[in-house]
Amino acid sequence: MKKISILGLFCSAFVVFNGAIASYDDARFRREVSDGVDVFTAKTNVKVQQDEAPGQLGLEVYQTKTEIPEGGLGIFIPTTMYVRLGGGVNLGFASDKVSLGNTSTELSGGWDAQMGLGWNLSSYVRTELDFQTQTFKFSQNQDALATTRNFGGNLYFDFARRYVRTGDVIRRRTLVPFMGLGAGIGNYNFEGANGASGDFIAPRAILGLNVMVNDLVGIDLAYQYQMFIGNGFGWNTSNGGVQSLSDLMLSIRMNF
Amino acid sequence: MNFKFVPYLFCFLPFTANAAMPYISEQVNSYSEQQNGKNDSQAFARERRFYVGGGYNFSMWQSGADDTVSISGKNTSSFEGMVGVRFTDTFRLEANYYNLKADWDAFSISGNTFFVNALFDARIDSMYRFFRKQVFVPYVGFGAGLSWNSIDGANVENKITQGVSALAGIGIEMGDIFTLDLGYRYFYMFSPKFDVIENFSPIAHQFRIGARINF
Repeated sequence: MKKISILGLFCSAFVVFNGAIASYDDARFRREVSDGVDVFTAKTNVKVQQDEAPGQLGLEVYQTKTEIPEGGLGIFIPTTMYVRLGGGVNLGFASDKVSLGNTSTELSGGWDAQMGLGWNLSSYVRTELDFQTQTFKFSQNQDALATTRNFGGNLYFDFARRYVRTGDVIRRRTLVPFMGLGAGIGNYNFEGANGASGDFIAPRAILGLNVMVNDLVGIDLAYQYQMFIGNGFGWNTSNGGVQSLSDLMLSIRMNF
Repeated sequence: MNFKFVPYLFCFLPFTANAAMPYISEQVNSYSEQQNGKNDSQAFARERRFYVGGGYNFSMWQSGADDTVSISGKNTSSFEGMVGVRFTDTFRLEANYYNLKADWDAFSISGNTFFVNALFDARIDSMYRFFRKQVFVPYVGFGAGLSWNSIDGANVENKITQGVSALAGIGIEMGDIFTLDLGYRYFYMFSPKFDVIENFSPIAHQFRIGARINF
């Protein structure tokens, strides 16, 4: 009996310590099942530490350009159109004075509303149809009022591509200066006795900066110059002539 | 019979042959995708073709003057309602009713205004809605219609007048069904020809807040 018990104990010990003898790693087994053998093996065997360049020549060979910051990747959404919502203020000091018969007064405190629908023709060319309304105020007579309404068309050129393709990666710029050329046509009215009114045409030029808030929405801050050609500009004024008007415009541009 | 013209006739054969060649067709859109998938220009419009809405309207009426009279515009508030249809995800037409209330220090107008508005939504392509949820949908548009007016304090030659408008705003989409609408409208009514002031066209800057139900 005693011999059998010793034999039994020996067999039991063999079973218990069998794993240890075989160097079996239970944790590794579980990770191989959960991660997959291939992934676990790759993580274990592949040396992920970046090699240091051995010298100047090697440095040149191994130098990484256009490195993509981690977490900065997203899906680029190509867009074909955009809408613009915004407004502006009239820059009286940069505009021609308004005629009051034999005298003149400066534009002061006027404001604009602007809404537009545009097309992204390429990564640096856009075209846009917009509607603008302007309300003019004057430095000498605060109660006097003049208004304009006009539809316009502009062709915009971005001074830097809004997005750049580098291989498979497309980079979007955050700051894009731009210029635009176009013209508006509409009507206007200087309220009160002998105020100029009627239709006008106004070639315009725009110089601005676009700040992208995210992939689709940007803010445009722009200077707009208009060469106003109508039936005079002011009160008791003669027909004709050209008036220079300057505005500072701020608008939101949403691409879609 | 003189058959000299036959060689010349053969010269036209290449043109004729080319004209007879079948045209090259290219499939640019899959019908099955349109039916089953969500990736075309009507992906949202197909699901929510129609909408109804309403809102509050705050109007700032513009002052005016002629050679002898000067009138000062006041602020008014009113309500409006609309019924619309989406043709694509980015274009919709709506019939808009606006309860007109306009006030100046010399006279006032109340009336019923019906407009048809064409609106362009800045909705991103349906392909990218899997990756990006769009809550804010700006829009711009324009409209035209008629106004049946009742004037208090003045006489007019035309009680029914034409009007035009330009609209802009932001739709805040809370799911597919409910949209909160914050908007601006430039409202221009052609002159009803008042007897107290010449060539005066009622103009307002209107700020709107409302909601749309899509179905």
